[in-house]
Amino acid sequence: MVFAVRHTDVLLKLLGAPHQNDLVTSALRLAQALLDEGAAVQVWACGDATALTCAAFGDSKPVNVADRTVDHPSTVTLIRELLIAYPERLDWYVCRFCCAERGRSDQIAEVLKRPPSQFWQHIRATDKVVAMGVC
Amino acid sequence: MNEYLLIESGGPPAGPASHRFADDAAQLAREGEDVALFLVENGVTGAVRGAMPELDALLWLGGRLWVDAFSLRQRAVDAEDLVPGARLVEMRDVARKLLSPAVRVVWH
Amino acid sequence: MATTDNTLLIIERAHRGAVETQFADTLFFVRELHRQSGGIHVVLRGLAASYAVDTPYEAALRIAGRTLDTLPDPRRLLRQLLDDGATVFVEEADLSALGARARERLLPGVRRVAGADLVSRWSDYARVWFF
Repeated sequence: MVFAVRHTDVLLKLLGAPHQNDLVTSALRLAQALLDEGAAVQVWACGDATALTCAAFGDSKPVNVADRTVDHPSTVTLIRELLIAYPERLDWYVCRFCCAERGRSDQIAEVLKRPPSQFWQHIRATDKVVAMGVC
Repeated sequence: MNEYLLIESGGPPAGPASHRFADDAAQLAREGEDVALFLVENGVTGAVRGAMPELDALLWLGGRLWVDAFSLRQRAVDAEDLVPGARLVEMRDVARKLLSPAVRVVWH
Repeated sequence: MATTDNTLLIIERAHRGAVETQFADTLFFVRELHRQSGGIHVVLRGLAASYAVDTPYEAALRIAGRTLDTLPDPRRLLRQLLDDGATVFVEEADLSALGARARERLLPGVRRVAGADLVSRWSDYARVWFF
């Protein structure tokens, strides 16, 4: 069965490792702003950006020993909450090759692993692409 | 005439490439394109007066300079220290611009 | 030969992932190193100089239905580090790069220094680490 990519207004192609700069923060801010405007958004996470939805992270960051009462949600939680809040207008895809290459094949159930050979289907299924970050 | 939204995220701390991208923006404006250059993340430091002469050229050529207010506050830069002509924007402004069918977007 | 057992930590890179980092940013670990060693001196240069400048920045973002108010707050951490007794320098040139008004908003207790002056003192330290 052929997978049909849902059409979106914008595709955010996310390439870049967490914790290096504010790329991830910008991507989430921009996705939220686009969703606030009523747009349909898909994210294609490639390379080290596949780490954001790695199941191994769990729901929360490790405890802050300086203040154990405060919970710090992981990127897994934040992305899952976005997907739950916008089920009709947000999809999050991760490149299957990059997941495997970087040892992150165990992804959360809410994201869809896609083969890189099908990447261009996603490009054709959107009106605009923002290519955020580089390899 | 094309409409461009160019986004610079690295700024001077990222080295020469950010200056080249600002140059690209100025070049597009010089060719008569409608250009808005949006500085975000560390890119906002490029809008500090004197930091990127390329921005003066962009503005002189009719381009627009947008600066992310959130990033600016995060990096403790006072809006009064920015080049004249810089406009503080929120991400919703960027989203609205981006969703305009005619706008081409390039992230650096 | 070092004249003290102090460690000089030089921080150049900054703002490395607000959402994914939250409390666990560079200064969090610097505080812990100071707690363990008792002798940390910090130099903020490059964009890290911005950590020493006060700002009306609210460390929070809205994502879906949540207000994520646990983003890194480097100025708060720097104040705590100073209260802990650490020494914090900021390089003049990098302060200027943040605008003419930046030095007016320097956090109390942070010492301005010219880069060359501090390099001359590297040999006073047991360790000089870029962090």
